[in-house]
Amino acid sequence: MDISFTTTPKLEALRREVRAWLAEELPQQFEGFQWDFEEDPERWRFYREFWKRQGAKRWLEPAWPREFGGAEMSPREARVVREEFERRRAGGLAGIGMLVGPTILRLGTDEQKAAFLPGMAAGEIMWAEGYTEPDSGSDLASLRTRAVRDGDEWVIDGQKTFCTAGHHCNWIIIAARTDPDDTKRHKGISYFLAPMDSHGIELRPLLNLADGRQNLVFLDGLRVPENRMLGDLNQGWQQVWFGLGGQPIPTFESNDPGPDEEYELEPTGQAWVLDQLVQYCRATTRGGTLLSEDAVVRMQLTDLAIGVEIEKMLQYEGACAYGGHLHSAITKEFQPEFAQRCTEILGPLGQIQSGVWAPLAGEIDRIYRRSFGNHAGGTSQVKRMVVATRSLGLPR
Amino acid sequence: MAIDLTLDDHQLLVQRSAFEYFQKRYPPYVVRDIEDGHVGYLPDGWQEMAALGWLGITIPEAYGGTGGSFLDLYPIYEEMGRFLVPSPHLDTVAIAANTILAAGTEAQRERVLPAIADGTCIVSLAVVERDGTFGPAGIACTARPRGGDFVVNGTKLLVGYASSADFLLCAVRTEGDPERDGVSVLLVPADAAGISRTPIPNIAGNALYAVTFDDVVVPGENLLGPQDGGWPALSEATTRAAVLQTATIVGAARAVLDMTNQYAKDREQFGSPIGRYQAVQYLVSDILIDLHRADLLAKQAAYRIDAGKDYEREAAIAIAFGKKAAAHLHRQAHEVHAGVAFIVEHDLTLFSLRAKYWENNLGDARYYQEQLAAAMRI
Repeated sequence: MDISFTTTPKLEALRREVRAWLAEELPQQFEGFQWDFEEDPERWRFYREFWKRQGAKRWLEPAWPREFGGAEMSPREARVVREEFERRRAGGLAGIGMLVGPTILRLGTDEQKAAFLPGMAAGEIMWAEGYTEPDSGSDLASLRTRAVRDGDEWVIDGQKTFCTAGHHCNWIIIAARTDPDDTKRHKGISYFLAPMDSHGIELRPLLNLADGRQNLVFLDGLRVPENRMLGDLNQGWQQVWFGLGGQPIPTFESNDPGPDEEYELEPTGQAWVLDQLVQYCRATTRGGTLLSEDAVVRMQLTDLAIGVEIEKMLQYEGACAYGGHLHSAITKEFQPEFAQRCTEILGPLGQIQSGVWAPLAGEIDRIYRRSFGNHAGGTSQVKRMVVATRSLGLPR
Repeated sequence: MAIDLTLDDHQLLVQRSAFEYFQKRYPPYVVRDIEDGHVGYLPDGWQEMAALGWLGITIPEAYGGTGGSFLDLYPIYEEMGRFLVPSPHLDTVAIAANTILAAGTEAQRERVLPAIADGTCIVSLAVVERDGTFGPAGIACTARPRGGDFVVNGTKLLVGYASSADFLLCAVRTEGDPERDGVSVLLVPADAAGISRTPIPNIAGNALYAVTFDDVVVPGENLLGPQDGGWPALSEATTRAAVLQTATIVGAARAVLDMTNQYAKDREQFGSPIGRYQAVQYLVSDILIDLHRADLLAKQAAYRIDAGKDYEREAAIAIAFGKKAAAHLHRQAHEVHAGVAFIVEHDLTLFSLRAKYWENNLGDARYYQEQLAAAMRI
């Protein structure tokens, strides 16, 4: 067994470079941006430029090959870059490029790689998701959007929904039925790539509970050239959704002789929020008692710490590449619990969203509202059904 | 830099041996037989564990052990949980031997450690008293210095295997002021005059005793660690032991999961295996989720102890969660089994009743959450 993070003088030099760049390029008021949960025009304007500058440093996709806009960094180097961006709570590139990029690397034609990857690594291409339909959520394989071949084009008709931040993205990846036989379900689905401003795509806003904007997407005679199909005809479910097949994604080895020195990771995500909450409780009195000395609050805070620690261990385990559905089930179920427990600690003032009376500048309010978006990527109930049937072999 | 959450090849080998040995040696009827007596373990089994080298794993070679690592104990504790092996291993090896190694004099080490390793010495932990607190606040037993000796008076509760013990590892109050720590640890010879033992009926059928000390004279050389300052070393050992107890909970949970999952597949109601109903699928998968989380946390804590890193925070998290998981997962298993496991002859009952012991032994979840709060500087 080993759970340790080590660094080298060379890695620390990289860290200093990233840190100095961020100190210069990321003013404090733009920290904590989440593309899927905000619409503030000023912050969006800032980040559209910020991502391009990050891309110019090759730090959006540092582990990609140079020809596609990456820096050919080793996993350790890329990790250092990521740690520094997380430490400053810099907003990640909008859209689902983190899913589309690796899929294009694996399955894309050479022409597709050249057409998309450099633009993604430069912060210029952002991908909207066109999978979910009004009648196909958890049961995605029942989708009804249809693509019909017409010469060297596909003509797509149908409707997508819950397309998060689609109005900010300039490309969309669409799952459509390419086999006329509806009963084939997941065996008749292919994936297409289309510019968002195409004739035949129309968006209508769906404002969500957590300050984000999702969209209805109407696809009406959308024409997509055949070279914009990603993966093979009717194989999209296995290849894109389940990430199977294609070429292995290139990884780069570092030439860094060390010496290695151990270091502690700084808290990010939920661990960072918990730290903030602990500090708040150490400085806040309620009913004459410091919150951090209240026996119930101490139990609530330590309950949170246990849950956050489990999430950390699951991430580490994910890094060793086993686990799978069990992970997502556990993580899904913890998120709402985390949010609820945080609000219980804050009490009535937790309702205040902004201004001088808002505890933690309204962070817990935002976390709480976002926790109702916990279904994204599959509901916890679906994840549980998968655990029960796949991991435990219980009957369907 | 590495993340590797698997035991090494040697430890996996130990795990397989432990699985095979315990499976053969401790079938449920043997566990039930042991429950019916007052000894609480199999003396022959204890000798066999000594011969396998499992009593001296963490004892240095100079004291008759094999000088292995703390993590080497993890798989053994996990398998002891899977087969509910009743044994004084936790008190004797994990707690007493560790405390003596950490705080004992050379003479104490030489006297006790080789005997523990070769299976001729059993030590029982005696901390909890009538108010039920695990920790200095609950210790009222007094040890009054007289000449070079101590005179011990009071009653300890829930002392395991007391009828077989050679020594009682006893936390006593040597300082009159209860506001101060004032706790010392004595290695009391179990045959000293003035000691009496009464078996305590208990939920898990363990060999737990009330041990009363009536003017028991203990030689000064049996003081373990500093006078009035014995608790920290003992607490360190009990925390480490509680991490191993979490491995036991994990092992037991694996058996409970196998049993429950199988039942959900076999039992048919309304024309279908009950495991097809999602309400039941939730219950069964709860057990898998609980044990997976407890295992990750306990392995991390054991790894940190083993690697000589700070472990207070991680250990407290693992132990507190493990105790809550023990309560929850056995409840879910009973929900699935319903009537059939309400009957004592069902083996699930052996597990679920012991869960209550694990929840409380060496302190409850709340105790460890307080330790965690301290480690987080809350």
